[in-house]
Amino acid sequence: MNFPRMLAVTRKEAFQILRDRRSLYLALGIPLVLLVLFGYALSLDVDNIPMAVWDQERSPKSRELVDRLTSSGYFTMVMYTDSYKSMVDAIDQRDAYIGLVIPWNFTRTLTHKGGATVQAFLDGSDATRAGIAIGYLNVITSIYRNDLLTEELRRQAVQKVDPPIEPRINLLYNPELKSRINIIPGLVAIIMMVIAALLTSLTIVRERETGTMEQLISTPIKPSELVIGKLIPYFVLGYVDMLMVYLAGQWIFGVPFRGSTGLMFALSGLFLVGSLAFGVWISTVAQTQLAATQFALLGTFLPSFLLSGFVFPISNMPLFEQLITYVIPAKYFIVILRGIYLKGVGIEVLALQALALVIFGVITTSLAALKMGKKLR
Amino acid sequence: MRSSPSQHTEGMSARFRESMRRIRYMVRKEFLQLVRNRQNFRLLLMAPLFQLLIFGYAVRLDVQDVLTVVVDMDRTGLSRDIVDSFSRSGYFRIVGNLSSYDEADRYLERGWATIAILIPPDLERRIKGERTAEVGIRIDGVDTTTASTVSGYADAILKGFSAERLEARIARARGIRYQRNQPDVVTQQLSVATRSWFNPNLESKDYFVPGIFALILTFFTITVTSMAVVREKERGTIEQLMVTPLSPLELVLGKTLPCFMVALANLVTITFLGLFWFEPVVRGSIPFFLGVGVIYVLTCLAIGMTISTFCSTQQQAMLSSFMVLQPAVLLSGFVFPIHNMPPIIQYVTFINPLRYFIVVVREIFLKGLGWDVLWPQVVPIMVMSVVFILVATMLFRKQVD
Repeated sequence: MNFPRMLAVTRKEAFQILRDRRSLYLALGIPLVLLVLFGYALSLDVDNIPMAVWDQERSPKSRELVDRLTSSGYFTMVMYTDSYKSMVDAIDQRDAYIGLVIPWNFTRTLTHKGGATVQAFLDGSDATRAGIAIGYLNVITSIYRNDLLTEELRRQAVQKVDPPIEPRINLLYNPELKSRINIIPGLVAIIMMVIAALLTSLTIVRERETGTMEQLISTPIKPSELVIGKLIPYFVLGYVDMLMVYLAGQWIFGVPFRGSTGLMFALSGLFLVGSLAFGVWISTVAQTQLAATQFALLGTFLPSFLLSGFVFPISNMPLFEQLITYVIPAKYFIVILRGIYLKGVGIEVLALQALALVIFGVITTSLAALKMGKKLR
Repeated sequence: MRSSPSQHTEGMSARFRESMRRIRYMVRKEFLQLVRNRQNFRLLLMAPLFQLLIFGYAVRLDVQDVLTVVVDMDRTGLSRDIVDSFSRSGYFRIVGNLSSYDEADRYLERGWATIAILIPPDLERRIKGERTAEVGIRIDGVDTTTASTVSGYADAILKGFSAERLEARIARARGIRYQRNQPDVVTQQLSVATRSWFNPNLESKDYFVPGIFALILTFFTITVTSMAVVREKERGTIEQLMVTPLSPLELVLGKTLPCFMVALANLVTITFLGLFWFEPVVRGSIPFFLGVGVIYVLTCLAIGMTISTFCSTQQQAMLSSFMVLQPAVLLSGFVFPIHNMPPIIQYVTFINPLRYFIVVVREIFLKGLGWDVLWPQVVPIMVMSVVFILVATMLFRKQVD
C-alpha cells in the first residue's frame, strides 16, 4: 500500500465531487430533506378511527357504550345512521371506517343468558389497521362488561367488589407508542444506505464509459489503493450527512437519545464503509452507468425498506425470506440505531450486529478490490 | 398557387409519414442501444420479476406468533390457565419460562422477546380471597404497530378472564354455584361480533402484494427513462442528434418509446407472475387494471424524461430520481396511511401519481371496483401524464434552442 498514491486518487476524486456542484448539493441535501419531510409526515398511529353508529335502542346503556368508545380517543363519531344501507355506503365511500350496530333489545339482552351482542362492520382491506381497531373495540367493550358485572355484584349486596385480575400493561422504551420515535432511526438507516451506495456506484463505471479507465490502467496504482483512495472523500461526505441527520432528529423531532453518541457514530462509520464499498463493487461489476444505477437502487432502497424490519416485522416472513434478510446490512444498522436511540443499550448488547457490519465492510471492500484488480490488469 | 383542401391534407399526411419514419429510426437506434448490452437486457427484463418474488413475501404486517416469555411465580392451576389462554389465542408464541423479572427485562432489551407476562406469587391466593391480583405485562414498544395490537390482545384476554371470575361470583352469590344450565341465571354480558369486509381473514398479503406491483413498476420506469437523454448529453452525442432533421418532439418520442415498450413488457410479466405466484384475491377486472397501468406507465415515463432534461450527468439523474422516488413511495399510502399525515403533506400527496395508482390497484383487486367508482383516481393519473409529457417536451425544446 503506497499512501501518497492513494491520497492522489483521493484528491482527484474530491476535486471531481466538488466540481459537480449539483451532485454535491443533492448528496448533502437529500438526506436532510427526506428525513425532515418523512419524520414529519409518516406515522403509523391508529387513532381517531371514523365510526358510524346505528343505535337502534337509544337507551342510557347504549349511549354509554358509544360514549366510552369516543372518549377513548381511538374512535371519532362521524355519523349516526338508521339503516344498514347508509352505513354500508359510508364505509364504501371511506367516510367511515367502522360501523357499529347496537340492537334494539340491547339493555334487555344484557341481563339475559348469552348476553348482548353488538355488531361491528369494518373495512378490512388494510388488515393491520382493521386488526388494531378490532382490538380497541374488544378492550373497551370488555372493560364495559366488567363494570356492568361489578355493578351487578354490588346490587347483590356484596359490599366491596374488586376486579379479580388487573392487567398492569407497561410499554417499554416508547410508552406513548408514538410511531415517529420508531420511524426516525429506521429512516436514518435507509437513507444512509441508499445515499452511500448511490454516491459510489458510478465512480468506476464512469471512468470506463468516458474512457479514462485506460489512463488509470497505465498508472502504477494498485487495486486496493484505488478503491480505498476513492472511498475516502465519499466517507467524509457520508459522515457529514450522518451528522446532519442526527442533529435534525434531535433538534427538530426531539427523538429520545438514551445511549452513547460516540458508540453510534463509531458504528455508523462501520456501516458507511460497508455501504460505500458496496457501491464501488457495483461500479466495478456494472458495464454501463445505466446498469450501475439499476443495481444500486435495486440493491439498496427497496431491500432496505422492505426487508430490514423497518416496518414489516422480520418474524412474520417465511423462513427462506428471513434467511435473505441476513444479507441486508440495514437490518443490523436499524437494530443498532433503535437500540442506542430508544433502549439506550451499549456495545455488549449490540456486539453481534457490530460484528455483522464489520463482516459486511470486509466482504464488500475485498470484493471491490478483487474485481478492480482484474480490471486493472 | 391555390391549394385544395385535399392537397393540404395530403401534404400534412406526407409530413406525418416523414415524421413517423424519423421516429422509427430513432426508436430503432435507442432500442438497439438499450438491449445491445447483454447485462442491460437481462437487468431490464429480469430485475423486476426478481424483485417481485423477493418482496412479495416480505410485506406482511399480520401480528401472530409474537415472541413471549412468561415469569410464573405462582405456579398454580389458575396461573397456568392464564398462560394457556395466551398461547391458545394464536397470537403469542411462548419462547421461555423464566424465573425472575430481571431476566425477562434482559430478553426484552435484546429483542429476544416482544412481550413478557409476569404473574405474581400470590395470584391464586388473592383471587380466591376476592382481592385484586395484578398481572404484569411488559411490552417492547419500539415497533408501535405490533405493540399496540399485542397490548390490545393481552388486555382483552386478561379482562375476559376477569369477567369469567366475576360471573362465577355472581352465580355463587345467588347460591347457584356453577350450575350454569339454570335458566334463571342473570348476568350482564356483552360481546362484539365483528365482520371485516373485503378482506375477511384480515390477511395483510392481499393488501400489500398488489401495492408491490405498483412500486416496482414506478421504480423501474422512472430510473430507466431518466437516463435516456442524459446519456447522450454526457457523451456529447446530443449535438449529433441536434443536427439531424429530428424535431424536439420526435426526439423525445424516439427516446421514450423504447422505454415504454420495455416498461409495458414488465407491466404484463409482473402482473401475471404476481397473480400466479402469490395468488392475491382478485375481485375486479384485470384488463381494466392493465389499462390504467398503461396510462400510469406513461406518467412515470414523462416524469423520468423531465428529470432527464434537467440533469447533465448520469450521477445527477440518478440522485434526482431517488429524490423523486423515495417521497413517491413513502407518501403514497403504501404503508403509511395518508390520513395520518399532517394536512400540508396530505395536499402534497395529491401530486403524487403513485398515490392514485396504489388506490386503484387495491380497490380493483380487493373490492372489485371499476371505472364508475375509481374515475376520481384514474383521471388525475391521465392529467398528470399529459402535463408531464408537455413539460418534458417544453424543457427539451428550450434546451435544444
